[in-house]
Amino acid sequence: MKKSRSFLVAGAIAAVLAAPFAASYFGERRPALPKPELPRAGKECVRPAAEMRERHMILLNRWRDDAVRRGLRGEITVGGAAYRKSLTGACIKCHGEKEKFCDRCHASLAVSPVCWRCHIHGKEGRP
Amino acid sequence: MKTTRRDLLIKAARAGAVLLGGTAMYEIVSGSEALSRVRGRGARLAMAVDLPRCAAEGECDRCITACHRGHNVPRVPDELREVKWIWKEDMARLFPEMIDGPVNGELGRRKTVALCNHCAEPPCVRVCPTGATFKRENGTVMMDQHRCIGCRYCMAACPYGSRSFNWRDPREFLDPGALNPDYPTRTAGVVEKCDFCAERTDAGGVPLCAGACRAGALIFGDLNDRGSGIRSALAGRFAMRRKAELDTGPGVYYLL
Repeated sequence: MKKSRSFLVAGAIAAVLAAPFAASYFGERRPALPKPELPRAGKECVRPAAEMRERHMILLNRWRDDAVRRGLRGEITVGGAAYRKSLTGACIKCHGEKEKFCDRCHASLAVSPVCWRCHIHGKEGRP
Repeated sequence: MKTTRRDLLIKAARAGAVLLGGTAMYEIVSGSEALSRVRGRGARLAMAVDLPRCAAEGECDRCITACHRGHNVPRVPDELREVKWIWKEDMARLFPEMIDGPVNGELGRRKTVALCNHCAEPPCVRVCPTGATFKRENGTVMMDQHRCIGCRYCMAACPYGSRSFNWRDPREFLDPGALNPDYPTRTAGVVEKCDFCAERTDAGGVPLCAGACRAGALIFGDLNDRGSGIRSALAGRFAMRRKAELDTGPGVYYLL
């Protein structure tokens, strides 16, 4: 009697502890990962995709300081194509629409970089 | 080789200078310390305004239009809150200390252009608490809008009124269809000014204003380069710089 009750209690505790994991495994599906639209031309980015995904903000900040503060706007050659150290002069030449590229991840991660308050993207200002 | 009396005296004088004051003293005597302070380490980009050529164009404002279009400078109707990189001003107001001298009579009433002087010793750089405005090695006084916190110390420090504050979002005053997409706008709350078209001069070009002037009245170049156009433009002509007595070392010359 006593022994079976303690088994019962242990089972109940285990069930309670496992419930959230079980719910996430069997129950509601996780929100879908954001899917930024990649350039169709299939060109090579200045760094591998995995690195860009994690560290593009660091690269952009470094480019910004190089161009603005040190005057180093130099070219980066990747796969035969040369790029300037420039958000509007290089990045968005391939990743044209920020709504379909930048915003998709930024919105789902609730980050709001201030780049576009000044820099002009996509169709803005283009006749 | 025989030591002449002259050589001996020169050597003795040099040794004496080193002994008396050390190398610092020697630098001051030879003038190299003062020169490197003014000249900078690399280039010293500057501009000369050829006043007769500018006046011959009459009511022209092509330099201002080219600059303000190219840099997305907003046209704010309120004069107290206007934003300007290059603007027209009466000679008498540019050179108030010279109205009894070279700038009297007709010349005082004539208008010409004013812009950031890209000083050798810029007071704006000295007061900026974040390093948002800084002096580049080529002599340009540059703005890094990313670091500007809008404190406006630089505006108080600049003796030339060359800086403007964005009281409102500048895009309110810009035609979205006429933006230059290759150059950013600014946001509300930052200071802006002429940067000698750093993105062009880094690529070896000339600033937009100098390129737009039909009369060739705006001569741009490197003062440390003996073969530059600005050196030959300045040679042998009387040139004035705004408030040179403040010892900021302005880099914009006005040729009489």
